Amino acid sequence: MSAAPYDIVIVGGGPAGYVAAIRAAQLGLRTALVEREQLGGICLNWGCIPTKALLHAAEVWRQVQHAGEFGIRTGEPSFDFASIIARSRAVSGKLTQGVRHLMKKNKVEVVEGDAKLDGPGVVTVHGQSGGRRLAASHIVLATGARPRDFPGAAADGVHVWNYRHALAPARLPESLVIVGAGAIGMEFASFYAALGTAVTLVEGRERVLPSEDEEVSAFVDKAYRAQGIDVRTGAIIEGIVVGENCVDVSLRTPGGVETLRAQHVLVSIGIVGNTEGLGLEKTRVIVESGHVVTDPLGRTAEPGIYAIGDVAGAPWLAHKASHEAIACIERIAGLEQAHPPQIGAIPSCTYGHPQTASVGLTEEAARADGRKIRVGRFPFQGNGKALAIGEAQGFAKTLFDADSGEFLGAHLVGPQVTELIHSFGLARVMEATEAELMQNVYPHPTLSETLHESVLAAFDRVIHI
Amino acid sequence: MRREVLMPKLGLTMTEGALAEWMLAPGAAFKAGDGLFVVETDKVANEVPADHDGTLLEIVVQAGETVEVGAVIGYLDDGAMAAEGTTTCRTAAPDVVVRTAAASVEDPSASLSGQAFPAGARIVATPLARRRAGVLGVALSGVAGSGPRGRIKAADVQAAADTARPAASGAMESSAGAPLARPAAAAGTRAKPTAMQSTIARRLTQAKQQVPHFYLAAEAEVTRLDALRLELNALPGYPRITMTHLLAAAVGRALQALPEFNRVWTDDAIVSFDTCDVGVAVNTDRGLLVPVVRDAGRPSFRDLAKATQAAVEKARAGALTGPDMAGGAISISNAGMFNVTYMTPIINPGQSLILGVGSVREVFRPDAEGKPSLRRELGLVLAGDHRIFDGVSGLRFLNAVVLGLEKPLGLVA
Repeated sequence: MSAAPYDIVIVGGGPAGYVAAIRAAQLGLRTALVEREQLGGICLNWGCIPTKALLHAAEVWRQVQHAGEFGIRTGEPSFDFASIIARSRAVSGKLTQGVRHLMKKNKVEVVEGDAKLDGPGVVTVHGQSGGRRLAASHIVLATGARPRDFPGAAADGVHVWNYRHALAPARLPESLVIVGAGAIGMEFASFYAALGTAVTLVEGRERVLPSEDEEVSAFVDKAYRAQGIDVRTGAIIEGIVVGENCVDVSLRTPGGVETLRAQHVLVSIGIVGNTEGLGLEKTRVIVESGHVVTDPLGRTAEPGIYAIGDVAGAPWLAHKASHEAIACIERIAGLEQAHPPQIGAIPSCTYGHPQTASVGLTEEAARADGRKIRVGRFPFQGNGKALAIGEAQGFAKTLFDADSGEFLGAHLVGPQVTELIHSFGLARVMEATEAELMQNVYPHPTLSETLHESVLAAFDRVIHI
Repeated sequence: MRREVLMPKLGLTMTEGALAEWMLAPGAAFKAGDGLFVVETDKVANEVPADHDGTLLEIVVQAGETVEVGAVIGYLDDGAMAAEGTTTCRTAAPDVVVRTAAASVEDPSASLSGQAFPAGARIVATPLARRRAGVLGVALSGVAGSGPRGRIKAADVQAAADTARPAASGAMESSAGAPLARPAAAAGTRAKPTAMQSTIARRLTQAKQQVPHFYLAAEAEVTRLDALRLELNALPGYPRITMTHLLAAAVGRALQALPEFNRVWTDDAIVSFDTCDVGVAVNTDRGLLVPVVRDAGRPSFRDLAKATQAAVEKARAGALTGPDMAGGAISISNAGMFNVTYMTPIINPGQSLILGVGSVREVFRPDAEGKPSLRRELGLVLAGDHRIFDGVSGLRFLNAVVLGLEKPLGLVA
């Protein structure tokens, strides 16, 4: 074993860890990054990116099927499922290579293997090439999270899937039960249903996308049903029983108990932080309900140990992780500019069909907060660009404090809304009021005009409706 | 290299300066041109900028203290390596050029915590913070920002309002038990004045209380002066002439002819000036500023008019520096454009005379035969420092000015 004095050792190479490493290197800190699997973490390899590749393939397929509406004649269209999966994997592979180059460019030493804290300021790494002992003034845990298993039916990759299995199956399933209608469940439901799998979506709470605004949930619920997805909300899973060539999922609903039989069940009921095996029990680091407890800048109860990204708790979003990473590193470097991401300004996006995007408070949360609010809505039906591209389903909804004009939140559903939400994020960060949002000029013709109209609508000034 | 920061000499008569504010905390880095500290003189608050990049090391003289010109008020590191054999060297040469603190005109709403921004600095606040500040009556200049680069956020405004409130109504809260948003007595909205407002207020109070003023009033018949002005303005290529230019000429010429009036009283000496400098009060959006026109007795009228106009425009542009406002025994305060017959002014601190000028009035006066004749009269009030002048001597000066205005060819000859 050899010892090397580093300023910072980062454990985990996902969107928290590798971004932290780059920022640390930019600030002139001697940095090492430990990764046990693939650089880029879940996001690049088994999450955000490969799912977007799949969903885009589904989108292309949808477009080809509707080509006639645009006056385009095609032969009988078909797809090759294996190629769709292969392309998704290739995209991930390319990005992982990209992260490796970034590490090299920034002179971050990448150490492969499993990391374990070994006394104050020391991380030991066990990898294929043997063991190493890394000494560092600061240790940043960015170990991420893994899918939560359904009790009694751990994912086996055959009948019981988690998102990893759903990303690279050998063949297109004929039927699939998806447990959990959060972002992951919704996106896979959308993908597989588009390709023809019989999808049943089961959610224990009363609506799909339970953390989104109720109106958005209701719209998506309707849209999914229209695509042939069997949506079951308010349904509690009683049990998952794996059979010979199928899996039985029993549900309890107010209407009674029912058993669904499918080729596979995809369990997407949340994730749990990777806190085990790190040697945390010998430190003062507090682990609570599956994640490391930190302050907004990533500091744990143990001086010199930090945690960022999914392992530090919700919201489990790559962009949150990267922002936390930068704030944490800048804090370590003593920069006064270190500012953690503002929870109320972190956008949340889902990429099924239709897409959803939101930032800030939902209407429910704003009212529960005791605020007097103004609500504006505008449908994409009233937007010229949406009609031109033949995707006029959905709406934009904006919320303002009625007294101060503070912009509280935006909830979008419809075409490309994940690409539109950022201006509302900026509005939250900049603490904009209705005045600035009204003053901002949205180019014509774009989908973004819908955002403007919803702001105008909140103040009874809507133009195109 | 460690260098001393000295109290600068900002004007001819300045012997001591009040350190109004440090604009940096020890340890803070600054760039050439950044404001270091604010000094109050008898004229105005002056922001003293750094002449090179560096770091403030130590504060010796705290804000609020008054020290002699040349006294060490702090130490800075200019970033240069010390040459061998030298000890400390000094910064802020005695005749340093300073720029006047551009005291920002905040809405006159309440202010609360300590001065977070130097007067004149651009205040960076979010739209919501600005709106909340307006509603809560919080002056943004007193709020410390928690956002990137000190940007003031809505929560900072709320915090400032929350900390101020218990102080205002603490006694009532404890007795009544229920928190009170505002004191019961209608106390109005409280605002913290800017450094510039405070300086002006203190200096004017001092001038009015400590300088024994006397006042002399007279009217000047300005029919010919008006005609001359119109004629000059009709000349191609001649600078545009205003009443203020003609007044500056009349006062400058009178001082030139009567040099005994070109003097001021200080506590230990009577100071006589060599050149006939005349201050011209200019109303700007940042308050009343008094640039001084040099040697107004001597140059051609055309040059004097140009110099006066330049001074006025510099004041309006906020570009005046300390020396631009230093010196002179007399100022002119022309309120003629505001429809007032007589204006009784307060002597500008450090000077001994001021001429208040009203509007031109058309009045009938009996002529030599007792018949009404139409006259155009300008109401003049000369305020003088009784420690150095008296009514009889003051009248000689006022009459010289009146004569200059009534027989205006002498001004332009």
